[in-house]
Amino acid sequence: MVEVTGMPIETDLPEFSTWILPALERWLLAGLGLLTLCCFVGLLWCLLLYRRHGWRRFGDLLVGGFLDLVRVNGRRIGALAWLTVKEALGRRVTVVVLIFLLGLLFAGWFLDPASTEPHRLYLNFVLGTTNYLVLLLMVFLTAFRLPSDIQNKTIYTVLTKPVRTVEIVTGQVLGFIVVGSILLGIMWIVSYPFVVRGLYHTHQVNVDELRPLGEPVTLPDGTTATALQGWTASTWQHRHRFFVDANGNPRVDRERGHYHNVTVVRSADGKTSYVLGGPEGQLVARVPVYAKKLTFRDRGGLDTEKGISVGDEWIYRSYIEGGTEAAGIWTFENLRPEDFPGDTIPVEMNIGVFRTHKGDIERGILGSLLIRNPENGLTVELQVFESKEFSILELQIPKTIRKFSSVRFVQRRAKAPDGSIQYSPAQPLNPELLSRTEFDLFKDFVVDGKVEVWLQCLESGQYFGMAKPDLYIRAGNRSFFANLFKGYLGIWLQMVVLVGFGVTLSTFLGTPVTLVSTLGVMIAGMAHQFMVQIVTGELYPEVETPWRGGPLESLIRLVLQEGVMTDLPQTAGTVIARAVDVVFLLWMDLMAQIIPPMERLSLINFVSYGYDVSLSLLAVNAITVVGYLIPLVIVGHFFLRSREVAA
Amino acid sequence: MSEKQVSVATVETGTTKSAPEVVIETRTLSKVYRDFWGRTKVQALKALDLQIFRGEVFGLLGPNGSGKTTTMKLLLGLLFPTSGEVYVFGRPATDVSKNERIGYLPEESYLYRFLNAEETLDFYARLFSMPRSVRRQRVADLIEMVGLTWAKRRPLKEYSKGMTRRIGLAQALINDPDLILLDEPTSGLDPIGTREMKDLILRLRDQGKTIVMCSHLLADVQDVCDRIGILYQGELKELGRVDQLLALKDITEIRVPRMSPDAEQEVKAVLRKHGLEVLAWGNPTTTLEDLFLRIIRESEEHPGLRVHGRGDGHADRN
Repeated sequence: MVEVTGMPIETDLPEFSTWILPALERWLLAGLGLLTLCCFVGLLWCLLLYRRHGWRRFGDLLVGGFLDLVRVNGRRIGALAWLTVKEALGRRVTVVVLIFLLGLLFAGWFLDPASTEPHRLYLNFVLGTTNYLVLLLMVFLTAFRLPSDIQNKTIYTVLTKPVRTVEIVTGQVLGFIVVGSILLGIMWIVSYPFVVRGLYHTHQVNVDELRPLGEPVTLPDGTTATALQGWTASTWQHRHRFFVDANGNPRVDRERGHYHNVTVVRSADGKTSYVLGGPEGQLVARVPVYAKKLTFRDRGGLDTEKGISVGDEWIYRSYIEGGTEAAGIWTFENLRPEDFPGDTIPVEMNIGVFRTHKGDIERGILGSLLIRNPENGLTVELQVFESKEFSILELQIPKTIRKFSSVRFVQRRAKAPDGSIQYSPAQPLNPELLSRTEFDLFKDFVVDGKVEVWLQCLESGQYFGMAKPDLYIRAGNRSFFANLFKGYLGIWLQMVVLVGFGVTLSTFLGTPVTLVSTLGVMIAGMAHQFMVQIVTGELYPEVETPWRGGPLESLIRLVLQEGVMTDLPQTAGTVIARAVDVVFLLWMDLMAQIIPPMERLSLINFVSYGYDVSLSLLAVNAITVVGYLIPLVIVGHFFLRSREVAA
Repeated sequence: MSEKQVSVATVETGTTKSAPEVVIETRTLSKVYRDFWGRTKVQALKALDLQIFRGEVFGLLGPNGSGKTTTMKLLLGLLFPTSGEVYVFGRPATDVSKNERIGYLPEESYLYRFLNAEETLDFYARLFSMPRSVRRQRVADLIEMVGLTWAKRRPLKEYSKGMTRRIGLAQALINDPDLILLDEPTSGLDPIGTREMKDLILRLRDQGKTIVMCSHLLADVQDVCDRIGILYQGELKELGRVDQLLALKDITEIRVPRMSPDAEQEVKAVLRKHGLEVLAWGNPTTTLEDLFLRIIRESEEHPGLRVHGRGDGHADRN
């Protein structure tokens, strides 16, 4: 069992195949709503400006605008994109790359390679810096491009050519994407050697300091040898435990998320020395295979959809009570023996721990990992483990199970709608199975690729919290270089959606307002989940009032020094404040629908925590961005088309 | 979108005279500028009815704020009419496809200053979806035509105003347009440039192109325009052929070369005999533009020589 410190990805990851259809449906509905709203506002605007001619103007705008959409010309879009790139280069965007390179040059002074997890520090620095630099650059570039074209009247010479406004908007979006892609490409290429070289270190091993471990062993050639153990020299404030087995094979233990490969060097005089290579296992891209579903068993042994709430805790996780029958049940599907070539299947988990009594805080809470055949109920307890907060546990499930704590028949019990209890399986297990001492994982537990992994908390009064992504099978590692690229792809996707907003806003706003608005979209997008939680009431589910508070009510409470749990006096001021807060909440709800989920598009955590970004997640994010970009370009087109640029 | 075809074809039938093709037509075209709240700020154009025909040079005249530039922008679709209609080549002015046949030179050359001349023209040519080979040839020809071959690789921000106007003109002609709209075409040009611009306008007219220009420089308009319209406070006050509008029909002018004093006396006697009063008698003056151009031309032919003007149209050489 290996323990790695750190928080993995704590969010439900959408699966493309199940996500796409409902998402498409929502998108079409939202598009229809947007179209209706735009038509209504557009008609009002036309009537205000053109009075009795407003209807005709609106008709021209609508019909002509839609006809323009189907008459777009790629060559013109290419020309306008090229112009945008030229202008951006003229605005010295290359300075951003220089700032980045300078940052890397001096980052070594501030990034402490002796920290607990230096790889995460380096990756977060590199990706975080790139993220903010590129996004801020795009905010500025998009805010200046079209408004300055209109202000300088250079737009006249473009609009008097056979150019459609949709081509202008698309051309600009594409141009900025090209600029951003070039910058991100340079940053990706530069950052990889920076991270690898920055983390490179090795250790010396003093052979004389190694001590014998255990009794001497007789080798096949008849000689005897003793295993050795000791420590490597300390580098960057850490050292590794060093072992040499009786056969002379050396290895080092994992420390601070990495280990070193050891080469044995024998000199001419017969002396043996050990040379350690660079750090391994830090820069990885683990491929997790997630369970199809996570269900729960309550303290009485009945199946439930959710665990229990432990109060003021993050609702992302459901909890199970220790020392009872409560369990978290992950059901994996489509497991095939050929996908796991080794002798074991690695399982990693990050279990939340909620203590109702402190106990020995240095010691973890004991839990049990079981594996169950979903068809016949055969269950073995594979391992008892110690779970600590904020740490990933790595366990191995052997393909041939010889060591186990217990074997038993476990029936699942679920309450039917009529109140009766249904048992699964209904028939008891063949007792012969329970007397076996060896099991084959795939033959005895996996049925049609399906298997259940159970987790129980063994200490009464303590709780384990879990969500579906908290326990997964580790299928292997993918290329870190490619995963770093995916991390940059996440930044790229954020950049694309921000460019879409920036360009669209610039079609009807001036530079300063576009700048502030796009910046606002960026910041709100980065806090999108928080915003959604406030709007849906997910953040404070215990507050049942329809308004759930708001800025004005909070202000009143601040002034009156009242806590959130006390009732405010029912004065006219309070009623008005709450009414305003309801409107504010509705506005925020609308914003939550419009603002892009920038934090979901960011893949920095995946890269820095060493998780491979799945193609499914990339596809979800890419389609999300396209889903934003299409209406943004169309809205921008109509705004620009309806605008009298020469007024 | 309503689309009206306005006598696009010119038909000759037997002995009937061919009708000129209407390129631009406005019907009770009005434009009101409003503030943010929809209140009227200014009525820039009032019920303008105008037809401009193929192959003519039409001048729009008027003092500042008379509605010339507004008219031009309405024709280009850069502004939308508050009421009335405007058609260009029979299509509504807001129809982008009309721009395939239009060239526009704005009052200031609103060009991208970070591009050089070649890039500028290539960019605008791409907006017309020209194939690369055609584009290259057209760009080279136009740069040569406006005399900027020597500076074609310099960014426009390094150009003088005259050079910028030239490249602005080149971009207006990049698509070999049938209709050319020129807003103050001679603004910022020196007399030589002005002359060249006027010659070019006449050349383009001879090629059958329609040109609409607005200018403050009345002499320029008089030199090149076939017809003019005079706007004042958004209303069309006068419209007609230049030669007809300027002709003083009750005054006769006779011009003869080198008249002797005897002939002069005899002519005056004849006029007196018929009871006619001589309003003016003397030598006509040339234009300052002609004088300037001749001096420059002579200076180019005889560089380094100092010239003293005598005031009689000739020069003494020291």
